[in-house]
Amino acid sequence: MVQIIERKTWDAIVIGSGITGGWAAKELTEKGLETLVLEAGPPVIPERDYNEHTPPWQMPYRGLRDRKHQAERQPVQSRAGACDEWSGKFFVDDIDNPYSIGDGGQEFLWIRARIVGGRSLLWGRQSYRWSDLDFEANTRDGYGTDWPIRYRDLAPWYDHVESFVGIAGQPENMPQLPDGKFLPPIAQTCMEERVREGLDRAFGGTRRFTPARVAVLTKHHLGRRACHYCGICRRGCISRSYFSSLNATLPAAEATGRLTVRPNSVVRNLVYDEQTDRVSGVHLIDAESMESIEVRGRIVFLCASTIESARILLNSKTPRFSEGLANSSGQVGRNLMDHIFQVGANGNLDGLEDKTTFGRRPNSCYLPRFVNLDGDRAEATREKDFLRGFGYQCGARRGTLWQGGIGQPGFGADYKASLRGLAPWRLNFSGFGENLPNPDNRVTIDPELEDRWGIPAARITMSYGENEEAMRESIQTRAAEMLEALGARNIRTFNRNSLPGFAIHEMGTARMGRDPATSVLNGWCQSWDVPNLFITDGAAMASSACQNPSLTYMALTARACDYAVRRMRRLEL
Amino acid sequence: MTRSPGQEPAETLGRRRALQVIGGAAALPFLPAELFANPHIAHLHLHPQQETGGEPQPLAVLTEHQGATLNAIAERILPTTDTPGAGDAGIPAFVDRLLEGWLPDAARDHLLAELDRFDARARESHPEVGGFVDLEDQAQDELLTEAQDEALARRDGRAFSRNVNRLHEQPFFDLVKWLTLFGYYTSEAGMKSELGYRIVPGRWDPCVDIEDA
Repeated sequence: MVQIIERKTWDAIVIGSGITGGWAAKELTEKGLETLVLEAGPPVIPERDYNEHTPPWQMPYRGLRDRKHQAERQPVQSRAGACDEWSGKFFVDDIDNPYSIGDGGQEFLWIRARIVGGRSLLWGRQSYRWSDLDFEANTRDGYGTDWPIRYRDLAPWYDHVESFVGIAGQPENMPQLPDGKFLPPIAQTCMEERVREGLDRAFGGTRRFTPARVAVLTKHHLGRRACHYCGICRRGCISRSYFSSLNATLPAAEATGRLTVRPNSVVRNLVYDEQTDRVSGVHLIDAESMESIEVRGRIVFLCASTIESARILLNSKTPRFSEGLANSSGQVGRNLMDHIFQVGANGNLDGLEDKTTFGRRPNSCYLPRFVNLDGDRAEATREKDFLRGFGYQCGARRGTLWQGGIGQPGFGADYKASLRGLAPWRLNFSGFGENLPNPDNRVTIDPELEDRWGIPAARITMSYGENEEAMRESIQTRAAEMLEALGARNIRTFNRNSLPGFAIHEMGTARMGRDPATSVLNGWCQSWDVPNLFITDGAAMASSACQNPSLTYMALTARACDYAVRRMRRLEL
Repeated sequence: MTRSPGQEPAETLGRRRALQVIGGAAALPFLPAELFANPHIAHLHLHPQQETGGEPQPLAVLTEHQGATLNAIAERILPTTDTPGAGDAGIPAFVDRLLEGWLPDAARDHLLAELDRFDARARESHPEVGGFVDLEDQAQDELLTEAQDEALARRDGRAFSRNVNRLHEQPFFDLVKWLTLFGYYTSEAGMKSELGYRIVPGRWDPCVDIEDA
């Protein structure tokens, strides 16, 4: 029951302050809308909470993590490498934020940050455009439904967001990975330059080893400072050199004077008005006072993240929408996707023993998809065992010797001297593979489980299928064959069978489409059923491609904001 | 209960909170630009407590003698050479913290009992001293070699396991060696002097000679 109804009607309410909520806030306020951003978690104050320059010796456990706390309160979150002793505080408390696994599904790792800025504080920053190889994928092989947009629809919006974000990257003129508006790339190590030349030679330029494109500044950009190469972005960035909502979009929105952020506001459901056939507001629980509050807005942007957005819709039942708001298609919660990863190969490369690097870069390298391409490359690149494709995050680096010290016998001065120095160069290929849309992979509402605020919890049912299995094999084989072509030694393939959710690229639960009967959103991320509702986070994706998706979410968000405001101005919403 | 229109709207609260939330970022342009020419200085300006470090805390679990024994062992495993040794790396405080809040009970009891047993052996073989810590380097190294041989025999070819639930099964020498290595190479002395670590490198150079790094 709602206890407090706030009297103000906002021009726009944005649910979530992560990478898409931040963009919605920026675009909508800059276009003149009084905007309320609801964030479930507490504020993050950079000067207080960022800790990227706190060295291990100033941490209680020197980086070994607060193990007992994590075992008790973060058993899921702590499985993510990023949830370490420094950044663990940015991840959710699993006891307060429970979810369940549906019958027949694999274990799903739902890694979340409920804080102002959301997971944009913690993301890997890799930023790649998708291409028509991706937007035409569903219609080409019949899995999922066709995207209602093509690359040409999104290209200007990629330009738009990249110009603000600042992406360090190198143009490569590859159709499957379109170039963008780049800042200077972060240079490859001398061994990586050799690898690039070697692969170009061995594979005729079809396997391009390029500096990873990342949302990190290589020069001063719009008031934010260039990277100082301290190396661990996810702990924050006092010089605002990597892109996050907190470092970039929210301050821009704040500068308009039209932004209000309401932290500690856990959204329970959207409020639907049968008379006007519109969302009239949002019902939230104040996380601290536990009060039940309704806020009102003319349009709503749902940017709570893929699973949370589906959960909010499914928890927003009305007489007309008995299966959840905006769900006349029955597709809300379905087609949940992630990327397969933690699979690939590595090996040692001889040479350049007297060379190393200085500084700690915020990226490594990327090797774009080279299988199952389209157009005149289709025949030559066709794989018989699986559909779609994968790319690699990769790099050649040297580790320190002390980390293997426990395996070396001895102690004393000679032993200490033997641990000084660097290991040989090791080249690693870590694949990220596309996941086919499957309506049985889905989010529903658990009939009993509730979170700390009494809100029914998500139940997640998801399994990888044969296509993903076959792709895992190919990811290892193809990586190993590149290592062999480069003359690597000690080649080792690996496949840790990553669980669904663990790539933290979940998407697809409110897909865009061409037909209201089979999709939740139209080509503008606008609900077919409820015209003043927009969903622009990962939920909107109709397929998963193999590239990191955040840049595409940002472009879709900015494009949807532009459309929504134009429609509002014509009084059509 | 529904609050009537006209009561203090929560939006006022929202606005105030918003300023708190974004305040830091919005304030950025008003900090002097030269501050941000060196991000490390910038961060120290904003986190002044980081340079002070604070007074050393008294040990919570270890006795002073146990702490001194651990420090002496650590210094023999990674001794002072042209760089500081593990005796300058705050190993007792680090291990004490693990004993207090990190290690499972079984591993904690195992480590404490084995540490005392090791020290007792020092007194048995050298009845004239109060413990390992009082011995000359050579005598300390003999006792550590003995402990290392014992560990090798006990492990029987198996590798040391860092699995937290197996730590209580690890031989004393391996356990204390692991704690010394990890403690030293994450200490200020070890990271700065031995590894050449800089908190803020300030630039990325993809190819340098090893001796310049």
